[in-house]
Amino acid sequence: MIESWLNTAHFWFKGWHFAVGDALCGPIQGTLPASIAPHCPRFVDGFFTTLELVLLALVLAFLIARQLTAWLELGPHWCKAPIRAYVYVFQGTPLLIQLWLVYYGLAQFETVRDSGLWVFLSSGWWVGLLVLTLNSAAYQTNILQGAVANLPSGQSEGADSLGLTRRLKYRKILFPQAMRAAWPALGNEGILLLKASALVSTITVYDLMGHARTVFSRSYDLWVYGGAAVLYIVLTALITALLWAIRRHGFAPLPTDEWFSAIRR
Amino acid sequence: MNLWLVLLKDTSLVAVIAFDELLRTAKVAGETEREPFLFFFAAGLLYLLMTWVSDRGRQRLERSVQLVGHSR
Repeated sequence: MIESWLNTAHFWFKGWHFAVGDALCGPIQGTLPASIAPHCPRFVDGFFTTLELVLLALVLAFLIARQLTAWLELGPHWCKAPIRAYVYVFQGTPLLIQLWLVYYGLAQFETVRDSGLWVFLSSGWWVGLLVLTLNSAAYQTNILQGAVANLPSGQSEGADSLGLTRRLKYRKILFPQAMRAAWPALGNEGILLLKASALVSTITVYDLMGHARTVFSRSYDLWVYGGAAVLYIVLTALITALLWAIRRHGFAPLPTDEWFSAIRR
Repeated sequence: MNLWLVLLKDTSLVAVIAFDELLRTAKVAGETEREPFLFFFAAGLLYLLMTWVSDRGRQRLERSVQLVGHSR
């Protein structure tokens, strides 16, 4: 039941990618290098696969990291050590090992192969999403927690003097400011995750890197990797632009300079 | 120091181009023994050990150059 649903979704996305690919690749066919031109729809499919994987992983990881940071600040004492351990382990080991451990490693256990989770764990895409999410969540937790810890102490004291509860102080005063301080670092993490996502090509996902490797193994033309690199740069630019847009329009406005000069007068 | 830790973990990437370092050794051994989880887990622990040792080294270094009366 789940499997057929997943297959439908998979083919819908692939069909969409290749439809865009056909529409895009026709007109620019003549301008591409001869080794890339016939494989152009593959690159478009890889482009969107990578983009979807990274954006999904980033958003899910942010939601997890936000919760873990809140627990680190407000939660009961016993939940802090496991969260710190999680962050330490995921930051201290290479992403490639995490991917291979889950994709190749877990398959050795029969209980895993027989369980309902096998639908997801046997698919490179889902394992990629899971591991990228968990990995990025660890890094983002570290970033957010650091940002909360480094806020000027006056913010916390001011909130205390207003009689806010610990929860309210964190939610209304500390976390929003920490988000502002952490945003550039979170953006960095997003770019790093984009580049790290090329590793999912080693667990059979046809992302941009995966397609580039297949095309390269057919043509032995190094321009293939050059083209993939250009598309990765485009992806970086896209994500950067997205982060800038959120920075500009997503945050609550601050008192502007005009406001300050008005009360000074 | 951060760069060192990042580079340390990135050395595992050369396994993809068939260089016999820790991760690739773990992969090959795991495939022959038919226990990939065990070997990848062990490799992960070794990497964790290396980053832990580096981190301790960093802390010692930080403490030794710290000004008197300043925490952190």
